[in-house]
Amino acid sequence: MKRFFQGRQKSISLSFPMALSLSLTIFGGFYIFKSIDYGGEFDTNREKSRELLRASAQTQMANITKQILNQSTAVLAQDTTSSVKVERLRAHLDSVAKILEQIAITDRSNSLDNIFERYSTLVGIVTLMFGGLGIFTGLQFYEQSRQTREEFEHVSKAIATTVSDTKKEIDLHVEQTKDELNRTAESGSAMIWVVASALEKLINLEVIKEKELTALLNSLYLSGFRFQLYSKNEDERSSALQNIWAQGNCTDLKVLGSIWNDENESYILRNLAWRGLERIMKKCIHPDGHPELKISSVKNKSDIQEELVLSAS
Amino acid sequence: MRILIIDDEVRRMQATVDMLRSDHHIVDQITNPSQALQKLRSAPKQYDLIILDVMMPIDNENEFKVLDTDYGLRTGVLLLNKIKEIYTFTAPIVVLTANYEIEEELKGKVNHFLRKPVPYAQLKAAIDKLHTKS
Repeated sequence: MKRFFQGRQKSISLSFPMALSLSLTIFGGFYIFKSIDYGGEFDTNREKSRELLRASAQTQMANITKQILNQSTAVLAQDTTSSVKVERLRAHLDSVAKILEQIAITDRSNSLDNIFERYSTLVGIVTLMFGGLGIFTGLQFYEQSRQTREEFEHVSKAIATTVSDTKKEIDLHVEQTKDELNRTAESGSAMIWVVASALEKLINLEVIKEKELTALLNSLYLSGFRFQLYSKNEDERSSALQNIWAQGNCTDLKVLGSIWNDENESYILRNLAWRGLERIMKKCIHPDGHPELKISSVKNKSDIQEELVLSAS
Repeated sequence: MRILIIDDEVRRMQATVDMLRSDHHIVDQITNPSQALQKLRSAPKQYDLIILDVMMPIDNENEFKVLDTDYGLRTGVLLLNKIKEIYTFTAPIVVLTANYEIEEELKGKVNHFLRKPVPYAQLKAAIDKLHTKS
């Protein structure tokens, strides 16, 4: 009997490790294959999510920029006082601020989080089952997922911080504009600068692709300078005129003409406006004359002066 | 790197300044060309790089006259010439401007010419290149 039990014990002690080892191998093998499979899925999802995140930020910023451009162009084109223009722009930017709130990272793919969770579980199981190999594989996967997480957190943080800063600054400008009855265009252009700066930052951080949005960014800055022409500060008006001289177009002729005709303006500003007229008009000469300035061909300053006087009268 | 930006458009340059600072550069910004010239004359070796705008308003005082600067459209060119006259000044100069037509005129006078709004990657590449050379 004693011998029998000794024999059973021996056979149990031999077969249990084997069975355990076999089952571990089967489970481990299964999870290794499965984890490789998840690894592929993880990579695919990572790429998809990254693209989704960037595309979303890009689309939303492009939409906001286009909206601001449309609105500010419309506002600038109206024959109203600068304070009315700014008030209208303020109302618009108020709504932009609300849109900005929504650009939180809601589009971050949920599936990515699921993959992370499943992956972490797998890594844990594989690590337990396969000791050294598991630790090595697990650490590799862990490192990969950590890097990806960090990358996403960096991008998400960049968007969130930029958006949050932009929102705060717009809110501040909105509040200031509300408080001051003596509204100036400075508030309007300041708000455009805030959005433009946010857009540029997102481009610089490579969250959104520069090529698609650089043209929009240029237009946004130009729009900011157009508002800045109504600033009380002469240096700001001067800076705006210089930029309009460099990058303005036919739509700027009217305002440049009015600055040139304004005898209360300084010598420098009037001359800058004249330079702008001279330069931009070359691009806008029309056989029938420009619809606003009625200029058919202009060669020198006195011609322009005469035409502008005629146009103003 | 210690970088001096001479540009009157503070708000427009904000994104670039933030990026430079996040890359661990020490950045100062001066909006007035006369003050910038004064600073560089008093400490010509204080900066490793100068980023210069071309179009800047002038007050028609000191060394920057309205006509010399073409009503402010060429302030940076005049400033550049005056900086180059500083005997001990050696820092490289990168021009950053919306006045694209001046590029040809500045060839050979500056280390890099970049157009506003400049993608930060381009500015960074220019800075890295200058840093490697030095």
